[in-house]
Amino acid sequence: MEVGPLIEFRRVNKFFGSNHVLRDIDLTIPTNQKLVIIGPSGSGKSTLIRCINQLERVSSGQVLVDGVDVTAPGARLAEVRQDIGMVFQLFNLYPHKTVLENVTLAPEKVRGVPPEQAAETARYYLKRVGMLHKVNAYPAQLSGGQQQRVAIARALAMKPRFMLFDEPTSALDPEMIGEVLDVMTGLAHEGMTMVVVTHEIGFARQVADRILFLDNGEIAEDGPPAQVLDSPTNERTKSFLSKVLH
Amino acid sequence: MTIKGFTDLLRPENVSFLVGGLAISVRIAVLTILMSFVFGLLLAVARYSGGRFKHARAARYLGLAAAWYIEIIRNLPMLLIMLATYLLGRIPALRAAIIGMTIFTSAIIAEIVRGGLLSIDRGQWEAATAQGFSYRQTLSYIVLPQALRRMIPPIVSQFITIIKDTSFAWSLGVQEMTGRGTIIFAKYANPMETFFTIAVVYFIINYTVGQAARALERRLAGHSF
Ligand SMILES: Nc1ncnc2c1ncn2[C@@H]1O[C@H](COP(=O)(O)OP(=O)(O)O)[C@@H](O)[C@H]1O
Ligand SMILES: [Mg+2]
Repeated sequence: MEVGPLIEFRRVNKFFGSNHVLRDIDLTIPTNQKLVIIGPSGSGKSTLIRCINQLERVSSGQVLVDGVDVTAPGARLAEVRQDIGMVFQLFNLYPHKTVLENVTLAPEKVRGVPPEQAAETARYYLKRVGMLHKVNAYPAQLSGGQQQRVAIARALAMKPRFMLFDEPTSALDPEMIGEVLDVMTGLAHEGMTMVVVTHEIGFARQVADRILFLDNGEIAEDGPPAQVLDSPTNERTKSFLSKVLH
Repeated sequence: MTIKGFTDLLRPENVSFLVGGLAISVRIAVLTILMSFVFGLLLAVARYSGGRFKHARAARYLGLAAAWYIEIIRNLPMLLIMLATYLLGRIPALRAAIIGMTIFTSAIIAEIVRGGLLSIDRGQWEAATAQGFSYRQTLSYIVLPQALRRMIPPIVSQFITIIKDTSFAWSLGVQEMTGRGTIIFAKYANPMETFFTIAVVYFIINYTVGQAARALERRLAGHSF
């Protein structure tokens, strides 16, 4: 059976004032793909990923999620967003809620899952990210790596169709990066569709089946890891990679 | 101050007269605090939301109305508002005092609440929005609870101001505690003793409220931020 793409960008442009941040982006992401986006700071990686769940509106073009045009006026965004998990650079856990409450809040209030069932699901995902021992802690009592793992559990508890990661390890101390990447790798092996903005080239090589190099709002390189990382055609990609690899 | 001044003041009939005045002061304060908190919260949310929904007409106009109300009212003297409420509203003095104080205090509380809302990190909105929470859900489950915790000190300090300012009701002819004190000292010529005693009562009440608020703050701070 032919299935349509899960995420599709059609000639997407984004301006912040006169700053042209995304330029004619055309992009098709099928189900099960693990897509890693790399590129210099300010090249538009966050903006691109945030257009998928419309945390950022596009200036022109269309973004389709599972066939639904999320850029159309009157699109039912809250419904679309429930099915998209997102993990942020700065975790953005809810500081006034315990770890367990952080994970149960959206399933209960957004999806209407009964509390006992939401708690059970939350425990399942907290166990998977190795945070079950901290259910009653508050975010401020956790390390950065622990907070980010809770944030991943929070996203998974909504049973999303796919996951977005925007530099999930960039705010972490080096010794905590591994624990978060391990969780993400496990998720990838289970077949989760993932779009990941990261500077962790090792992770990209190991997990991605496709890498985009974004430069100045344009997709400058697009291909499997071996091609993009080892034999890039674009000069900017080469110079960027020489910086992050050494 | 003389012993006689105090024994006159502390005659049973005077004490019960003063305590009756205190009851009126407390009633004014409690009602004003409760209503100002509710209206202040609504005004703050209206003004704050108006700024966020620049393209939704109704929200924007509501926000502008709230902003004008707040800016005008908090730049007027509270006593003027109380007197105007009494004289133009043609309602009993006690009710006018409570309404007048509420009209004023709501504007003050609104700005405290709005400051709290604005202090919440943008990432909280993004995380909640990305999870599918609506605007209203994000406000009530995520943003307001955090903002309210941060607002405890300024709100309590405003509540203490309200308790002290119940004495303004005397200008409308309400016989609250301070007003009754003036009646007593006019009779016994003991203004020093009377004012001293009343001051002690205000102090004890307000000091207790302040300490209770600090204890609450410490308890909330213990487990989160
Ligand atoms: N909310 C915003 N308002 C104005 N400019 C923004 C905003 N967000 C991002 N930009 C600008 O858009 C460009 C791309 O930003 P971003 O997508 O965050 O890049 P990256 O994630 O690749 O570092 C930058 O020039 C940045 O300054
Ligand atoms: Mg970024």
